[in-house]
Amino acid sequence: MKSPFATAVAMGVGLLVLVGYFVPVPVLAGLRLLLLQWAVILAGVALLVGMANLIQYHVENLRSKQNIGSVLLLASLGLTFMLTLYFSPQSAPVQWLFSAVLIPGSVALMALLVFTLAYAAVRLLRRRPGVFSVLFLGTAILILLGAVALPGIGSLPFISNTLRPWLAQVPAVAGARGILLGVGLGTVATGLRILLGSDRPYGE
Amino acid sequence: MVNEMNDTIRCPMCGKPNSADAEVCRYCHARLTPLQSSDVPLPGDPEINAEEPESALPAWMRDLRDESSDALPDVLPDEEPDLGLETETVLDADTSADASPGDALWRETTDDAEEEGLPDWLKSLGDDTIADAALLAAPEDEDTEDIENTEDIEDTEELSATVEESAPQAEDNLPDWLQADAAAEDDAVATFSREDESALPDWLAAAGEAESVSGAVASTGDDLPDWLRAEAGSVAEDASADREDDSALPAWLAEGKDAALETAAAAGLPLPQEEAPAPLEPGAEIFPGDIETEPAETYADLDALEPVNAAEFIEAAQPPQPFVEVDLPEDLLTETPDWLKLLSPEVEEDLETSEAEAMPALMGDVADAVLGDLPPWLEAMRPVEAMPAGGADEDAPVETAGPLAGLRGVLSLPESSLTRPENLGAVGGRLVVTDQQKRQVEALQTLLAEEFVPRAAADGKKAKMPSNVLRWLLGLMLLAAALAPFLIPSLRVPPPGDILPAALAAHQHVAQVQPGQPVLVGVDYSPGFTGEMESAALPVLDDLLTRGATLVFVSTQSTGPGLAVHLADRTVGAETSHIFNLGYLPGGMAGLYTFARAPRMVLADTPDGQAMWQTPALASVHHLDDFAMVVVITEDTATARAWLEQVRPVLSANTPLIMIISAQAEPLVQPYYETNPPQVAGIVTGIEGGTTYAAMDGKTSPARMSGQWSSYSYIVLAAVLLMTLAGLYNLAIGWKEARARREMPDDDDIIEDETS
Repeated sequence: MKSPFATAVAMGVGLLVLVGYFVPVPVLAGLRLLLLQWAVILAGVALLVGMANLIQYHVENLRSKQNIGSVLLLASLGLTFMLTLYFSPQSAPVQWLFSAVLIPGSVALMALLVFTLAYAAVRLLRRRPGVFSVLFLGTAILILLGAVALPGIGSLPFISNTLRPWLAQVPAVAGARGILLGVGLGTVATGLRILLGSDRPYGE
Repeated sequence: MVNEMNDTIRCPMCGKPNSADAEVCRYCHARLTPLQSSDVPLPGDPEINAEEPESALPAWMRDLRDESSDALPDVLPDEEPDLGLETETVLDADTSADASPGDALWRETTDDAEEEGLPDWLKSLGDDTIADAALLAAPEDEDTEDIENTEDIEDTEELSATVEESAPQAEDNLPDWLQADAAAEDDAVATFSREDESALPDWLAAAGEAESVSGAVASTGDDLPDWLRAEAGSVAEDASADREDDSALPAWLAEGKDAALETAAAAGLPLPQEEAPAPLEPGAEIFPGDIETEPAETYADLDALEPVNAAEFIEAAQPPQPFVEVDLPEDLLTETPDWLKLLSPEVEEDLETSEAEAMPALMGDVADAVLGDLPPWLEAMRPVEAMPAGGADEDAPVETAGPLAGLRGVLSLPESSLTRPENLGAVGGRLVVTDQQKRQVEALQTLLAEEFVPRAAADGKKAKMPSNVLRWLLGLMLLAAALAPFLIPSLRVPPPGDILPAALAAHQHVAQVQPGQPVLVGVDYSPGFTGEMESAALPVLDDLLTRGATLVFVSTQSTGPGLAVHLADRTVGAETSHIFNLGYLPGGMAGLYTFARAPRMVLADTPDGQAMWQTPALASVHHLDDFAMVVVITEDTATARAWLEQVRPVLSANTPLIMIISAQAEPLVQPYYETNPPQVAGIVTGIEGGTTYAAMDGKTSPARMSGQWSSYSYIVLAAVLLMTLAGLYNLAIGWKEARARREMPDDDDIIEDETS
């Protein structure tokens, strides 16, 4: 059972911040900013807690499974952390690590997505032949064709300036607005559930 | 019941008034007039002929009276006055104050008619008896109240004492002849005790006392008429004769005793030696009146007394006082006659455990001997004839005890399958499975087993080889398309000709930034999207820097500050004095909200410890609205929405917010641009947007953007070609396989066929 004290604190802070949105009282505004600043600090501390948890997990993993990946992770984490503490986040050594290791690795992983998506699109009609599969694949092909230029031709007429903008701004935006409305309602519902204490994502 | 004034009649059931002519109560539907023919007089009818009381009774009751009077045993005189019954009648008449007038009138009429048919001596006797009973009832009522007030069972001793005290008082109020009867009663008991060595138990002695009273009545002599005196004398003689051998039992009971003894002797059973009544069970409930000797007290107390525990009551109220005064041997009081033991449950159990051959005959003989010698009047009242003819099974057992004695098959349970052990065994334990169910189980087990059997290696090789080849071919094709524009410059494609309105609006807002004005740039994209986002953002940032704007980077992601440095390093003409990096802003939406309201409080210094807000370029910035423009670089729609919801409200119309987003986020960000007024002032989308923007201002390197755009175009074309050709091929194969699957019966059909 979650602590009633934690629930009361969460509900009280949430109500104070919410009232501060609607009631233009300087006291409430200052209190709201103070509470949010505490939240910002706590979120920064949460990163350190997460890093400690990551270290603990991989230390246990190293003891039990002797996984080489855990060794690399712990070594990289410790090296980067020490370099950042010793130098500064924007120093040349730290920035080199960032630009030479983190960004290329992340981009390479993202580039693999191109092959995966292309292969999935190729196999789509074989695994699920149907009207909706053909419609999905045809729409993707039209959007891609409208976003590129051919050598010697440039942008494809009608597809680039008419069909693709229509597809991206009418059907897609219509669906996106529905999603945004759903997200907004879901956010309100989640906020109310937390304020009323029915949803307590904090504590044990 | 009839209200003459209102001409209404009250319902005897619910008590509510009804009209006098109504036959049924309109409230409870109870019948108001009795169902009786007009020729039969009602009991309450005052017109009943008082000279003929017998005619007021129904025929069946007159017959029953005649039979009962004829069938009385010899030892009971027909005209013996029943004092207890008389007392009960009088008490009922006195205590039933709420009796209806018709009932009282009926009772008076009947009594008068009966009294007129009686001799004078019997009338006076009845009057004296009524008066004596009234005198006896008065103290008993007080005693009853005392008993009701008692809370503990131990107070039964007080009850016994009260009863004993009231007895002499009642005797004092008795007439002379009745007091003489009481004295003769004591003498008879003493005589009986002295003359008969075979003692009787208490309960049987009480029964014999009544017989002694009858004998004593005969000895009182003078007050009785001649005929009654003769009857009393004969009864006394019979009683004295019975005392010598049968302890003053009635003739019919003595005959039953003899028959039982003879039957037991014939069966070879040991005859009982001691006479004792069946002892009361400790937990049985009895009423105190059950053991009292005076009938008047018994009837008066029965309704008011509560049941008490038998053991406690026996302990508190034994033995009755008159019998204590007689010096009788204990063995005589506790012994039970042998013939009476045959009727006890213990003897019945012995009979059951005796030899099987002798038991039916013995039981039949005992039952016949004991139960078959009932007086004729009692035998006539047995409900034997109520049994339907042929209704009872011939094999059904005959009840041998209780009120249903002699009836056949009235308590026997019908044979049921639940009472047969063999049927119980057949019901539980074993599951009956049909052949069809067995086939279904086997089919299901086969299907489940096949799921865990690895496929053959040959099939795996055949399936893997084309897949690997296809993947390698796809990889090589996309790699060639990406490198071709860089390796062969002639293959580069021209920039997109059409400029989207959102990108054009972003360009127009950037063009309004004055030199030296601060511009807040949110770097909130993941490192994996660096290629696309930098291609889209660099033309905008180059344009801002070339216009003399001061860029202030901030990020809500932990990798944002590094990406901001990486992005700033790639800008054209970037100067360190025009770029500030506030670093990481934790807290997500809360951090953004706080930073939008108080940027100096949330992020006071740069990660390097630089007092950024004190620099001349940012000295005028106290709120977010003091920035000339806010630029958000993100590929995530949630992050874009957070900026729009938390930061956009604090910005004035003079501070535009433009977004540089990935192509995948365009559909979700586009609605914010299409609002009126637009919440997003301009959008630059992906590589295409960056290339378009670069083509507009011409500040970004055309060669770099042309190479990226060409590679992008070729890769997309290759993907389109692959998807189209392979899609058509796989579509044909897929339809062919689907058609083949439709023609083949599936597993469900196979199972259904097997089950059918």
